[in-house]
Amino acid sequence: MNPVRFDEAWSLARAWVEANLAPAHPILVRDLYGRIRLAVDDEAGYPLPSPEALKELHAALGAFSAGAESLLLVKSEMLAPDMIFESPDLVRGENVSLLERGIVGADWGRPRLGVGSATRIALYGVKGGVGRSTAGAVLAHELSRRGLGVLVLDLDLESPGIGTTMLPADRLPDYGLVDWFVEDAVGQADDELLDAMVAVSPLEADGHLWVAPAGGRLRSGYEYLSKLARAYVGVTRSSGAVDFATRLSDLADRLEARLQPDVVLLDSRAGLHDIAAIAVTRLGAYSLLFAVDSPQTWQAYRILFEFWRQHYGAFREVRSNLRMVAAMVPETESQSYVESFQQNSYELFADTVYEQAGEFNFDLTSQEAPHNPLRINWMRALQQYDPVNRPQAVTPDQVQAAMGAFVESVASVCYPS
Amino acid sequence: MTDFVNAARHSRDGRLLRNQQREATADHLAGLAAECALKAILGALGAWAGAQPQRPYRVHIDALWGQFLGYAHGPQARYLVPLSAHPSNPFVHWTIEHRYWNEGNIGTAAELSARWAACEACMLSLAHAQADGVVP
Repeated sequence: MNPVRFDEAWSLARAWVEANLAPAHPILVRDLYGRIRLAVDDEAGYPLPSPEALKELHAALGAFSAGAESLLLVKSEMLAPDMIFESPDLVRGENVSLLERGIVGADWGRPRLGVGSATRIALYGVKGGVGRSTAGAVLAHELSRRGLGVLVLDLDLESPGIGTTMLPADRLPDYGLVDWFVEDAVGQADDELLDAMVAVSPLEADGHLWVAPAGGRLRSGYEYLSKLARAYVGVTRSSGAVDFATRLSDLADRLEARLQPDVVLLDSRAGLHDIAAIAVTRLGAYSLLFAVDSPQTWQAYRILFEFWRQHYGAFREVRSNLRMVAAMVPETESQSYVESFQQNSYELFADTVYEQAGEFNFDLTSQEAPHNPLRINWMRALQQYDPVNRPQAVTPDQVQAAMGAFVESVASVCYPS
Repeated sequence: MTDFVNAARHSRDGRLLRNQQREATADHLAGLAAECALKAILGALGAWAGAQPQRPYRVHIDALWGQFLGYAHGPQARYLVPLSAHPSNPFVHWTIEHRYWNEGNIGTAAELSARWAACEACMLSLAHAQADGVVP
Protein backbone atom coordinates (compact mmCIF):
# COMPACT_ATOMS: atom_id res chain seq x y z
CA MET A 1 0.00 0.00 0.00
CA ASN A 2 1.37 3.38 -0.94
CA PRO A 3 2.14 5.65 1.97
CA VAL A 4 0.07 8.79 2.22
CA ARG A 5 2.56 11.66 1.99
CA PHE A 6 2.57 14.96 3.91
CA ASP A 7 0.82 17.08 1.24
CA GLU A 8 -1.60 14.36 0.28
CA ALA A 9 -2.68 13.76 3.88
CA TRP A 10 -3.51 17.43 4.34
CA SER A 11 -5.49 17.84 1.13
CA LEU A 12 -7.22 14.54 1.77
CA ALA A 13 -8.15 15.61 5.29
CA ARG A 14 -9.48 18.95 4.08
CA ALA A 15 -11.52 17.47 1.29
CA TRP A 16 -12.91 14.68 3.42
CA VAL A 17 -13.83 16.96 6.31
CA GLU A 18 -15.48 19.47 3.96
CA ALA A 19 -17.52 16.68 2.43
CA ASN A 20 -18.44 14.80 5.59
CA LEU A 21 -18.06 16.90 8.70
CA ALA A 22 -18.94 20.46 7.70
CA PRO A 23 -21.73 20.76 10.31
CA ALA A 24 -19.11 20.28 13.03
CA HIS A 25 -17.29 23.44 11.87
CA PRO A 26 -14.03 21.77 12.78
CA ILE A 27 -10.56 23.21 12.92
CA LEU A 28 -8.02 20.99 11.22
CA VAL A 29 -4.81 21.18 13.23
CA ARG A 30 -1.55 20.07 11.68
CA ASP A 31 1.05 19.53 14.40
CA LEU A 32 4.83 19.75 14.46
CA TYR A 33 5.04 16.39 12.70
CA GLY A 34 2.39 17.12 10.13
CA ARG A 35 -0.03 14.90 12.03
CA ILE A 36 -3.63 15.95 11.79
CA ARG A 37 -6.29 16.46 14.43
CA LEU A 38 -9.82 17.86 14.38
CA ALA A 39 -10.89 20.35 17.01
CA VAL A 40 -14.63 20.79 17.48
CA ASP A 41 -16.35 23.45 19.56
CA ASP A 42 -19.03 21.43 21.32
CA GLU A 43 -19.66 24.36 23.65
CA ALA A 44 -20.97 26.32 20.67
CA GLY A 45 -23.30 23.45 19.93
CA TYR A 46 -21.48 21.91 17.00
CA PRO A 47 -21.99 18.16 16.69
CA LEU A 48 -19.14 15.79 17.28
CA PRO A 49 -18.08 13.43 14.49
CA SER A 50 -19.18 9.83 14.96
CA PRO A 51 -16.63 7.22 15.99
CA GLU A 52 -17.10 5.55 12.61
CA ALA A 53 -16.28 8.76 10.78
CA LEU A 54 -13.18 9.28 12.88
CA LYS A 55 -12.07 5.72 12.28
CA GLU A 56 -12.43 6.22 8.55
CA LEU A 57 -10.47 9.45 8.58
CA HIS A 58 -7.76 7.95 10.78
CA ALA A 59 -7.30 5.07 8.37
CA ALA A 60 -7.17 7.38 5.37
CA LEU A 61 -4.48 9.64 6.84
CA GLY A 62 -1.98 6.90 7.49
CA ALA A 63 1.14 8.08 9.28
CA PHE A 64 -0.19 11.63 9.34
CA SER A 65 -3.12 10.85 11.59
CA ALA A 66 -2.49 11.98 15.16
CA GLY A 67 -3.73 8.57 16.28
CA ALA A 68 -7.09 6.91 16.67
CA GLU A 69 -7.59 8.22 20.22
CA SER A 70 -6.01 11.62 19.63
CA LEU A 71 -7.71 12.55 16.38
CA LEU A 72 -10.54 14.47 17.96
CA LEU A 73 -10.10 17.43 20.29
CA VAL A 74 -13.34 18.39 22.00
CA LYS A 75 -13.39 21.94 23.32
CA SER A 76 -15.08 21.18 26.64
CA GLU A 77 -12.39 18.60 27.36
CA MET A 78 -9.39 20.67 26.39
CA LEU A 79 -6.84 22.06 28.79
CA ALA A 80 -6.17 25.22 26.79
CA PRO A 81 -8.84 25.52 24.11
CA ASP A 82 -8.00 29.14 23.32
CA MET A 83 -4.63 28.02 22.02
CA ILE A 84 -6.52 26.49 19.16
CA PHE A 85 -9.88 28.20 18.91
CA GLU A 86 -8.49 31.70 19.45
CA SER A 87 -5.14 31.19 17.79
CA PRO A 88 -3.98 34.19 15.75
CA ASP A 89 -2.74 31.70 13.18
CA LEU A 90 -6.17 30.27 12.40
CA VAL A 91 -7.07 30.43 8.74
CA ARG A 92 -10.82 30.59 8.93
CA GLY A 93 -12.94 29.00 6.24
CA GLU A 94 -16.66 28.93 5.81
CA ASN A 95 -17.05 25.50 7.38
CA VAL A 96 -13.56 24.25 8.01
CA SER A 97 -10.69 26.25 9.49
CA LEU A 98 -7.02 25.39 9.38
CA LEU A 99 -4.30 25.73 11.99
CA GLU A 100 -0.66 25.05 11.36
CA ARG A 101 1.71 24.31 14.22
CA GLY A 102 5.36 24.70 13.28
CA ILE A 103 8.55 25.45 15.13
CA VAL A 104 9.14 28.49 12.90
CA GLY A 105 7.51 30.15 9.95
CA ALA A 106 4.29 31.49 11.39
CA ASP A 107 5.26 35.13 10.97
CA TRP A 108 4.60 35.16 7.20
CA GLY A 109 0.90 34.85 7.89
CA ARG A 110 0.51 36.94 11.00
CA PRO A 111 -0.99 40.41 11.21
CA ARG A 112 0.78 43.73 11.39
CA LEU A 113 2.08 44.62 14.85
CA GLY A 114 2.31 48.34 14.27
CA VAL A 115 3.39 50.90 11.72
CA GLY A 116 5.71 52.97 13.83
CA SER A 117 6.09 56.72 13.77
CA ALA A 118 8.49 56.90 10.83
CA THR A 119 8.20 55.74 7.23
CA ARG A 120 9.51 52.20 7.34
CA ILE A 121 11.10 50.65 4.30
CA ALA A 122 12.15 47.01 4.19
CA LEU A 123 14.81 45.86 1.77
CA TYR A 124 14.28 42.18 1.09
CA GLY A 125 15.42 39.57 -1.39
CA VAL A 126 14.29 35.98 -1.30
CA LYS A 127 17.75 35.14 -2.55
CA GLY A 128 20.83 36.99 -1.42
CA GLY A 129 23.66 38.55 -3.33
CA VAL A 130 21.42 41.01 -5.15
CA GLY A 131 22.98 44.21 -3.88
CA ARG A 132 20.41 44.90 -1.22
CA SER A 133 22.81 46.30 1.35
CA THR A 134 24.55 48.50 -1.21
CA ALA A 135 21.18 49.84 -2.29
CA GLY A 136 20.33 50.43 1.35
CA ALA A 137 23.50 52.41 1.96
CA VAL A 138 22.97 54.52 -1.17
CA LEU A 139 19.35 55.10 -0.28
CA ALA A 140 20.22 56.12 3.26
CA HIS A 141 22.76 58.65 2.04
CA GLU A 142 20.48 60.09 -0.64
CA LEU A 143 17.56 60.47 1.75
CA SER A 144 19.87 62.18 4.22
CA ARG A 145 20.96 64.54 1.42
CA ARG A 146 17.31 65.43 0.99
CA GLY A 147 17.20 66.49 4.63
CA LEU A 148 15.42 63.42 5.96
CA GLY A 149 16.49 61.80 9.22
CA VAL A 150 17.25 58.15 8.52
CA LEU A 151 17.78 55.17 10.83
CA VAL A 152 19.18 51.96 9.35
CA LEU A 153 18.56 48.68 11.19
CA ASP A 154 20.70 45.70 10.26
CA LEU A 155 18.24 42.85 10.65
CA ASP A 156 20.43 40.33 8.88
CA LEU A 157 21.62 38.92 12.18
CA GLU A 158 22.96 35.72 10.61
CA SER A 159 24.96 37.58 7.99
CA PRO A 160 25.50 41.10 9.25
CA GLY A 161 26.82 43.62 6.80
CA ILE A 162 25.18 46.95 6.33
CA GLY A 163 26.60 48.19 9.62
CA THR A 164 30.13 47.66 8.36
CA THR A 165 29.28 49.22 5.00
CA MET A 166 28.01 52.39 6.60
CA LEU A 167 30.27 52.75 9.65
CA PRO A 168 34.05 52.81 9.82
CA ALA A 169 35.61 50.38 12.26
CA ASP A 170 36.33 53.07 14.82
CA ARG A 171 32.71 54.26 14.84
CA LEU A 172 30.97 50.92 15.38
CA PRO A 173 28.89 51.21 18.52
CA ASP A 174 29.63 49.13 21.57
CA TYR A 175 26.40 47.19 21.22
CA GLY A 176 24.12 45.96 18.48
CA LEU A 177 20.70 44.46 17.96
CA VAL A 178 21.70 41.05 19.35
CA ASP A 179 22.65 42.78 22.58
CA TRP A 180 19.23 44.33 22.80
CA PHE A 181 17.53 40.97 22.65
CA VAL A 182 19.56 39.33 25.38
CA GLU A 183 19.39 42.34 27.68
CA ASP A 184 15.66 42.72 27.08
CA ALA A 185 15.16 39.06 27.98
CA VAL A 186 16.28 39.83 31.53
CA GLY A 187 14.53 43.14 31.74
CA GLN A 188 17.42 45.56 31.37
CA ALA A 189 17.07 46.97 27.90
CA ASP A 190 17.28 50.59 28.97
CA ASP A 191 17.83 53.87 27.17
CA GLU A 192 21.53 53.73 27.93
CA LEU A 193 21.73 50.52 25.92
CA LEU A 194 19.66 52.04 23.12
CA ASP A 195 22.08 54.93 22.85
CA ALA A 196 25.03 52.56 22.86
CA MET A 197 23.55 50.56 19.97
CA VAL A 198 23.42 53.38 17.47
CA ALA A 199 26.15 55.30 15.68
CA VAL A 200 26.15 58.19 13.26
CA SER A 201 27.31 57.25 9.78
CA PRO A 202 29.81 59.41 7.90
CA LEU A 203 27.38 59.11 4.97
CA GLU A 204 25.20 61.56 6.85
CA ALA A 205 24.42 64.70 4.86
CA ASP A 206 21.69 67.23 5.65
CA GLY A 207 19.47 64.90 7.62
CA HIS A 208 20.67 62.66 10.41
CA LEU A 209 21.87 59.21 9.48
CA TRP A 210 22.01 56.64 12.25
CA VAL A 211 22.95 53.00 11.97
CA ALA A 212 22.02 50.24 14.42
CA PRO A 213 24.21 47.29 13.43
CA ALA A 214 23.48 43.65 14.17
CA GLY A 215 26.33 43.45 16.67
CA GLY A 216 28.63 45.77 18.51
CA ARG A 217 32.27 46.51 17.86
CA LEU A 218 34.24 43.27 18.05
CA ARG A 219 36.56 43.37 21.00
CA SER A 220 37.95 41.17 23.71
CA GLY A 221 35.08 39.92 25.86
CA TYR A 222 32.40 40.69 23.28
CA GLU A 223 30.57 37.63 22.04
CA TYR A 224 28.28 37.65 19.04
CA LEU A 225 27.28 34.04 18.38
CA SER A 226 26.30 33.35 21.97
CA LYS A 227 23.84 36.24 21.77
CA LEU A 228 22.59 35.31 18.32
CA ALA A 229 21.86 31.83 19.70
CA ARG A 230 19.47 33.42 22.15
CA ALA A 231 18.08 36.33 20.17
CA TYR A 232 14.94 34.63 18.94
CA VAL A 233 13.72 33.22 22.21
CA GLY A 234 10.36 34.38 23.48
CA VAL A 235 10.16 35.95 26.90
CA THR A 236 7.54 36.07 29.60
CA ARG A 237 6.53 39.44 30.91
CA SER A 238 3.80 40.25 33.40
CA SER A 239 1.46 40.66 30.43
CA GLY A 240 2.17 37.10 29.33
CA ALA A 241 4.32 35.40 26.72
CA VAL A 242 5.96 37.80 24.27
CA ASP A 243 7.30 36.42 21.02
CA PHE A 244 10.29 37.60 19.01
CA ALA A 245 8.19 39.53 16.52
CA THR A 246 6.68 41.63 19.28
CA ARG A 247 10.10 42.22 20.78
CA LEU A 248 11.48 43.39 17.45
CA SER A 249 8.49 45.65 16.94
CA ASP A 250 8.97 47.11 20.41
CA LEU A 251 12.64 47.73 19.66
CA ALA A 252 11.79 49.58 16.45
CA ASP A 253 9.22 51.68 18.32
CA ARG A 254 11.70 52.56 21.04
CA LEU A 255 14.42 53.55 18.61
CA GLU A 256 11.94 55.72 16.72
CA ALA A 257 10.81 57.39 19.93
CA ARG A 258 14.41 58.02 20.94
CA LEU A 259 15.82 59.28 17.64
CA GLN A 260 12.72 60.53 15.85
CA PRO A 261 13.86 59.62 12.35
CA ASP A 262 11.72 60.38 9.32
CA VAL A 263 12.64 57.07 7.69
CA VAL A 264 13.66 53.67 9.04
CA LEU A 265 15.41 51.35 6.59
CA LEU A 266 15.09 47.69 7.59
CA ASP A 267 17.88 45.71 5.98
CA SER A 268 16.26 42.31 6.10
CA ARG A 269 17.83 38.93 5.94
CA ALA A 270 17.45 37.11 2.64
CA GLY A 271 15.41 33.93 2.41
CA LEU A 272 12.27 32.71 4.10
CA HIS A 273 13.36 33.06 7.75
CA ASP A 274 11.00 34.51 10.32
CA ILE A 275 13.02 37.68 10.79
CA ALA A 276 12.52 38.43 7.10
CA ALA A 277 8.81 37.76 7.52
CA ILE A 278 8.63 40.23 10.37
CA ALA A 279 10.47 42.94 8.42
CA VAL A 280 8.40 42.49 5.27
CA THR A 281 4.95 41.87 6.70
CA ARG A 282 4.58 42.79 10.33
CA LEU A 283 6.14 46.20 10.83
CA GLY A 284 4.01 48.24 8.44
CA ALA A 285 6.94 48.69 6.08
CA TYR A 286 6.94 49.52 2.41
CA SER A 287 8.71 46.39 1.24
CA LEU A 288 11.09 46.41 -1.67
CA LEU A 289 11.40 42.89 -3.03
CA PHE A 290 14.76 42.57 -4.77
CA ALA A 291 15.09 40.06 -7.57
CA VAL A 292 17.10 39.09 -10.59
CA ASP A 293 15.46 37.57 -13.64
CA SER A 294 16.46 33.97 -12.99
CA PRO A 295 14.38 30.81 -12.66
CA GLN A 296 15.76 30.23 -9.15
CA THR A 297 14.59 33.64 -8.01
CA TRP A 298 11.10 33.32 -9.47
CA GLN A 299 10.74 29.82 -8.10
CA ALA A 300 11.74 30.99 -4.63
CA TYR A 301 9.38 33.97 -4.73
CA ARG A 302 6.63 31.69 -5.88
CA ILE A 303 6.96 29.73 -2.61
CA LEU A 304 6.25 32.91 -0.70
CA PHE A 305 3.54 34.19 -3.01
CA GLU A 306 1.80 30.84 -3.02
CA PHE A 307 1.74 31.01 0.76
CA TRP A 308 0.26 34.48 0.55
CA ARG A 309 -2.38 33.27 -1.88
CA GLN A 310 -3.48 30.74 0.71
CA HIS A 311 -3.31 33.24 3.55
CA TYR A 312 -4.96 36.06 1.67
CA GLY A 313 -6.55 37.59 4.74
CA ALA A 314 -3.15 38.33 6.20
CA PHE A 315 -1.79 39.31 2.79
CA ARG A 316 -4.40 42.02 2.36
CA GLU A 317 -2.58 44.17 4.91
CA VAL A 318 0.66 43.89 3.01
CA ARG A 319 -0.29 43.93 -0.65
CA SER A 320 -0.38 47.69 -1.14
CA ASN A 321 3.07 48.00 0.38
CA LEU A 322 5.03 45.77 -1.96
CA ARG A 323 7.20 46.63 -4.90
CA MET A 324 9.53 44.48 -6.97
CA VAL A 325 13.03 45.71 -7.64
CA ALA A 326 14.97 44.52 -10.68
CA ALA A 327 18.19 44.57 -8.75
CA MET A 328 20.95 43.95 -11.26
CA VAL A 329 19.84 45.03 -14.71
CA PRO A 330 22.73 44.20 -17.02
CA GLU A 331 24.66 46.80 -18.97
CA THR A 332 23.95 45.15 -22.31
CA GLU A 333 20.54 44.18 -23.73
CA SER A 334 19.02 45.80 -20.71
CA GLN A 335 15.70 46.49 -22.40
CA SER A 336 14.98 42.87 -23.20
CA TYR A 337 16.10 41.93 -19.68
CA VAL A 338 13.65 44.37 -18.14
CA GLU A 339 10.85 43.13 -20.39
CA SER A 340 11.53 39.54 -19.44
CA PHE A 341 11.68 40.51 -15.77
CA GLN A 342 8.42 42.40 -16.04
CA GLN A 343 6.72 39.46 -17.74
CA ASN A 344 7.92 36.94 -15.15
CA SER A 345 7.08 39.27 -12.32
CA TYR A 346 3.61 39.85 -13.72
CA GLU A 347 3.01 36.11 -14.01
CA LEU A 348 4.12 35.58 -10.43
CA PHE A 349 1.59 38.10 -9.16
CA ALA A 350 -1.17 37.17 -11.56
CA ASP A 351 -0.91 33.47 -10.78
CA THR A 352 -1.08 34.01 -7.05
CA VAL A 353 -2.27 37.30 -5.60
CA TYR A 354 -3.88 39.47 -8.24
CA GLU A 355 -7.64 39.30 -7.99
CA GLN A 356 -9.28 38.48 -11.25
CA ALA A 357 -12.50 40.06 -10.09
CA GLY A 358 -11.28 42.41 -7.45
CA GLU A 359 -9.55 45.70 -6.88
CA PHE A 360 -6.06 44.28 -6.49
CA ASN A 361 -5.42 43.70 -10.14
CA PHE A 362 -3.05 45.32 -12.61
CA ASP A 363 -2.13 45.11 -16.26
CA LEU A 364 1.28 43.94 -17.37
CA THR A 365 2.51 47.46 -18.06
CA SER A 366 0.70 49.34 -15.32
CA GLN A 367 3.14 51.81 -13.77
CA GLU A 368 1.79 51.61 -10.23
CA ALA A 369 1.64 47.83 -10.23
CA PRO A 370 3.69 46.16 -7.53
CA HIS A 371 4.99 43.65 -10.06
CA ASN A 372 6.40 46.43 -12.21
CA PRO A 373 9.92 46.72 -10.96
CA LEU A 374 11.94 49.64 -9.80
CA ARG A 375 15.25 49.40 -11.53
CA ILE A 376 18.83 49.22 -10.31
CA ASN A 377 21.44 48.95 -13.04
CA TRP A 378 24.35 46.65 -12.50
CA MET A 379 27.52 48.54 -13.09
CA ARG A 380 30.98 47.18 -12.76
CA ALA A 381 32.07 50.38 -11.04
CA LEU A 382 29.58 49.83 -8.22
CA GLN A 383 31.22 46.59 -7.21
CA GLN A 384 33.86 48.83 -5.64
CA TYR A 385 31.29 50.67 -3.54
CA ASP A 386 32.89 51.23 -0.13
CA PRO A 387 31.80 54.74 0.78
CA VAL A 388 33.24 54.74 4.27
CA ASN A 389 36.76 53.53 3.55
CA ARG A 390 37.21 54.51 -0.10
CA PRO A 391 34.76 57.28 -0.86
CA GLN A 392 36.52 58.10 -4.16
CA ALA A 393 36.15 54.58 -5.55
CA VAL A 394 32.71 55.28 -7.00
CA THR A 395 31.63 58.71 -8.24
CA PRO A 396 28.25 60.30 -7.61
CA ASP A 397 27.56 60.13 -11.34
CA GLN A 398 28.10 56.40 -11.32
CA VAL A 399 25.79 55.99 -8.34
CA GLN A 400 23.22 58.13 -10.10
CA ALA A 401 23.47 56.06 -13.25
CA ALA A 402 22.99 52.85 -11.32
CA MET A 403 20.38 53.91 -8.81
CA GLY A 404 19.04 57.36 -9.62
CA ALA A 405 15.61 56.22 -10.70
CA PHE A 406 15.37 53.76 -7.83
CA VAL A 407 16.20 56.42 -5.27
CA GLU A 408 13.68 58.86 -6.75
CA SER A 409 10.89 56.30 -6.58
CA VAL A 410 11.62 55.34 -3.01
CA ALA A 411 12.11 58.94 -1.91
CA SER A 412 8.64 59.80 -3.16
CA VAL A 413 7.27 57.29 -0.65
CA CYS A 414 9.13 58.96 2.17
CA TYR A 415 7.74 62.45 2.13
CA PRO A 416 4.95 62.86 4.64
CA SER A 417 1.68 63.58 2.92
CA MET B 1 -1.97 27.10 45.04
CA THR B 2 -1.03 25.70 41.67
CA ASP B 3 2.64 25.11 41.07
CA PHE B 4 3.06 22.60 38.30
CA VAL B 5 6.81 22.61 38.56
CA ASN B 6 6.90 21.58 42.19
CA ALA B 7 4.12 19.10 41.64
CA ALA B 8 6.66 17.05 39.71
CA ARG B 9 7.53 15.79 43.17
CA HIS B 10 4.99 13.10 42.33
CA SER B 11 7.62 11.47 40.15
CA ARG B 12 10.20 11.42 42.92
CA ASP B 13 7.71 9.92 45.35
CA GLY B 14 6.56 7.50 42.67
CA ARG B 15 10.11 6.30 42.20
CA LEU B 16 10.40 5.59 45.91
CA LEU B 17 7.21 3.54 45.80
CA ARG B 18 8.31 1.68 42.71
CA ASN B 19 11.52 0.70 44.40
CA GLN B 20 9.37 -0.83 47.13
CA GLN B 21 7.21 -2.68 44.60
CA ARG B 22 4.27 -0.46 45.41
CA GLU B 23 3.36 -0.42 41.70
CA ALA B 24 -0.24 0.72 41.74
CA THR B 25 0.24 3.93 43.66
CA ALA B 26 3.51 4.59 41.85
CA ASP B 27 1.58 4.35 38.60
CA HIS B 28 -1.00 6.81 39.85
CA LEU B 29 1.72 9.27 40.74
CA ALA B 30 3.35 8.73 37.34
CA GLY B 31 0.21 10.02 35.71
CA LEU B 32 0.02 13.03 38.01
CA ALA B 33 3.70 13.83 37.54
CA ALA B 34 3.46 13.63 33.77
CA GLU B 35 0.40 15.86 33.84
CA CYS B 36 2.16 18.48 35.95
CA ALA B 37 5.33 18.39 33.88
CA LEU B 38 3.39 18.89 30.66
CA LYS B 39 1.36 21.70 32.16
CA ALA B 40 4.52 23.40 33.38
CA ILE B 41 5.95 23.28 29.87
CA LEU B 42 2.71 24.35 28.22
CA GLY B 43 2.55 27.29 30.60
CA ALA B 44 5.95 28.38 29.34
CA LEU B 45 4.60 28.11 25.80
CA GLY B 46 2.06 30.74 26.67
CA ALA B 47 -0.84 28.31 26.75
CA TRP B 48 -2.58 30.52 29.25
CA ALA B 49 -2.15 34.00 30.64
CA GLY B 50 -0.99 34.13 34.24
CA ALA B 51 -0.32 31.09 36.44
CA GLN B 52 -3.56 29.23 35.86
CA PRO B 53 -4.88 27.40 32.81
CA GLN B 54 -8.51 27.89 31.94
CA ARG B 55 -9.40 24.37 33.04
CA PRO B 56 -6.84 23.73 35.75
CA TYR B 57 -8.05 20.47 37.10
CA ARG B 58 -10.32 19.06 34.50
CA VAL B 59 -7.79 17.62 32.11
CA HIS B 60 -5.59 14.78 33.29
CA ILE B 61 -2.79 12.96 31.54
CA ASP B 62 -5.02 10.44 29.74
CA ALA B 63 -6.69 13.26 27.81
CA LEU B 64 -3.78 15.70 27.86
CA TRP B 65 -1.43 13.32 26.06
CA GLY B 66 -3.63 13.37 23.00
CA GLN B 67 -3.95 17.14 23.12
CA PHE B 68 -0.54 18.57 23.81
CA LEU B 69 0.87 18.27 20.31
CA GLY B 70 -2.12 20.27 19.14
CA TYR B 71 -0.90 23.13 21.30
CA ALA B 72 2.82 22.84 20.60
CA HIS B 73 4.20 25.46 18.27
CA GLY B 74 7.05 27.96 18.07
CA PRO B 75 10.65 27.56 19.14
CA GLN B 76 9.69 26.74 22.74
CA ALA B 77 7.86 23.66 21.50
CA ARG B 78 11.13 21.78 21.23
CA TYR B 79 10.73 20.50 24.80
CA LEU B 80 7.66 18.58 23.75
CA VAL B 81 9.27 17.06 20.69
CA PRO B 82 10.96 14.07 22.40
CA LEU B 83 7.63 13.06 23.91
CA SER B 84 6.16 12.33 20.51
CA ALA B 85 8.57 9.41 20.18
CA HIS B 86 6.29 7.48 22.50
CA PRO B 87 3.54 5.18 21.26
CA SER B 88 0.24 6.80 20.56
CA ASN B 89 -0.92 7.42 24.10
CA PRO B 90 0.83 5.51 26.85
CA PHE B 91 -1.72 6.87 29.35
CA VAL B 92 -4.80 5.95 27.36
CA HIS B 93 -5.94 3.50 30.05
CA TRP B 94 -4.74 5.55 33.00
CA THR B 95 -7.47 7.42 34.81
CA ILE B 96 -7.64 9.70 37.83
CA GLU B 97 -10.30 7.28 39.07
CA HIS B 98 -7.61 4.65 39.62
CA ARG B 99 -7.22 6.02 43.11
CA TYR B 100 -10.52 4.30 43.95
CA TRP B 101 -9.85 1.02 42.17
CA ASN B 102 -8.49 -2.28 43.25
CA GLU B 103 -4.77 -2.22 42.61
CA GLY B 104 -4.96 -5.41 40.59
CA ASN B 105 -7.12 -3.80 37.93
CA ILE B 106 -5.22 -0.71 36.94
CA GLY B 107 -3.22 -2.25 34.13
CA THR B 108 -0.82 -4.92 32.94
CA ALA B 109 2.84 -4.91 33.86
CA ALA B 110 3.66 -3.81 30.34
CA GLU B 111 1.22 -0.90 30.50
CA LEU B 112 2.58 0.27 33.83
CA SER B 113 6.10 0.03 32.54
CA ALA B 114 5.22 2.09 29.47
CA ARG B 115 3.48 4.71 31.60
CA TRP B 116 6.47 4.96 33.86
CA ALA B 117 8.80 5.46 30.90
CA ALA B 118 6.55 8.18 29.51
CA CYS B 119 6.50 9.89 32.89
CA GLU B 120 10.29 9.88 32.99
CA ALA B 121 10.34 11.41 29.51
CA CYS B 122 8.06 14.22 30.65
CA MET B 123 10.30 14.86 33.63
CA LEU B 124 13.32 14.99 31.35
CA SER B 125 11.62 17.52 29.07
CA LEU B 126 10.75 19.63 32.09
CA ALA B 127 14.34 19.43 33.30
CA HIS B 128 15.56 20.67 29.92
CA ALA B 129 13.10 23.53 29.96
CA GLN B 130 14.24 24.46 33.44
CA ALA B 131 17.91 24.20 32.50
CA ASP B 132 17.26 26.56 29.59
CA GLY B 133 15.55 28.99 31.90
CA VAL B 134 12.28 28.77 30.00
CA VAL B 135 10.49 27.27 32.99
CA PRO B 136 11.48 28.70 36.37
